[in-house]
Amino acid sequence: MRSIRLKAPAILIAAGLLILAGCAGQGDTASPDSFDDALALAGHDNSLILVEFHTDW
Amino acid sequence: MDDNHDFRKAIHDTGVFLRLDAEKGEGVPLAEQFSVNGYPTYIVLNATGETVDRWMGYDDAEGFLAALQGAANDPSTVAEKLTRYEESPNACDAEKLGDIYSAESESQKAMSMYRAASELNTEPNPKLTGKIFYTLADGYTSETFSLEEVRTGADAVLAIEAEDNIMNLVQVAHRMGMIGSQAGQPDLSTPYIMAALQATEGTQEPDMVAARRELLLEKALRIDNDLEAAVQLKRDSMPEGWKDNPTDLNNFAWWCFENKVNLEQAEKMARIATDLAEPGPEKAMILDTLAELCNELGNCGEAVALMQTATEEQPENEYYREQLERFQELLRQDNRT
Repeated sequence: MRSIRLKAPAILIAAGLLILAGCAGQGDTASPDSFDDALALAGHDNSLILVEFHTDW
Repeated sequence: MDDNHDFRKAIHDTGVFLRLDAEKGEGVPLAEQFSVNGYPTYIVLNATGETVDRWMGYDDAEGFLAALQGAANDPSTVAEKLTRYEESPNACDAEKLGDIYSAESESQKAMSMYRAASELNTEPNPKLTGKIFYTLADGYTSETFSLEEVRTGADAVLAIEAEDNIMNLVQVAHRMGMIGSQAGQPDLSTPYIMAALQATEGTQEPDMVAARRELLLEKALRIDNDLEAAVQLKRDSMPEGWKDNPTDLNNFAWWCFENKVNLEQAEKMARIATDLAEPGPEKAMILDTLAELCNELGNCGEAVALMQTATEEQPENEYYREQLERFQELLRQDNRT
């Protein structure tokens, strides 16, 4: 089966994900544990939520 | 430029960042709820959970940051963007709505918006012409658009003479090659491959050099019908260390299977990849490649056994179950004759 990677060249996606992965859990970024947490956090100051859907493989 | 710093700042400015594994935990129902079709998919939501923007993948850090900034600059929901557009039609909103529908794989709606944007634009827009082609090509795969419509979209890209149209030409050549194979018309891509090769001649830019190598491969395969040269070009295009990497080995083997070339060696590589792969989805994906190759080489019995294992590696995958049934049926027919 074709590898399930889409759109952007895989190497660029991988680089981007690494950079983004470094953003989760950083002190200067609100990093919720769940979708409901994200909504609650965003609700405090009416901010936006960026959701990344990915797979680990 | 410190990419990491810029990314962190941009995400911090957005507000909340949530990473979800679409195949685990709450990521599974949420991916279904938001109709996620590929990875990575990014969705920007407001505090009440309504979609403001979305896109799939990205070409580079700058493109990603621009997309994020665009969402922050216009935090209206998709429904609000549509109302605004209907009240006062403009090319900018039409193109943005087209982008969002395209990321949702809503080809018809995306095309309707892109066409409206094209009509509202006063200047030629290579980027938009490219988006129209990609939407038509995606829609052809899902049987939403005809081959003739796709060809018209490809010709529109070909007709643009602009420096920033070169990557579009490359992408069109690549997609038309795939569509031509799918449609049983291998000659379909010839004019697009030749135009893209001409446009990239003498290029030094690394992305373009890599793209040109792919085009030469397509030319060898589809125009010159020189299979030996095509396989060699494919080998040359593989990343360093590819023979030790299960995903790369699978890509090579699957490419051979799709193009019906070098099948014996592809089978060997798929077997090595199966041994190297992590248990679970990765192993299942490669077992599927190996099963296709075995079947192609006349060993349908082993294809059945391999797909049996693939369904055990990833039981929730419906496609693998369908593949198992397909090979079982082929084996039954073989046994009858």
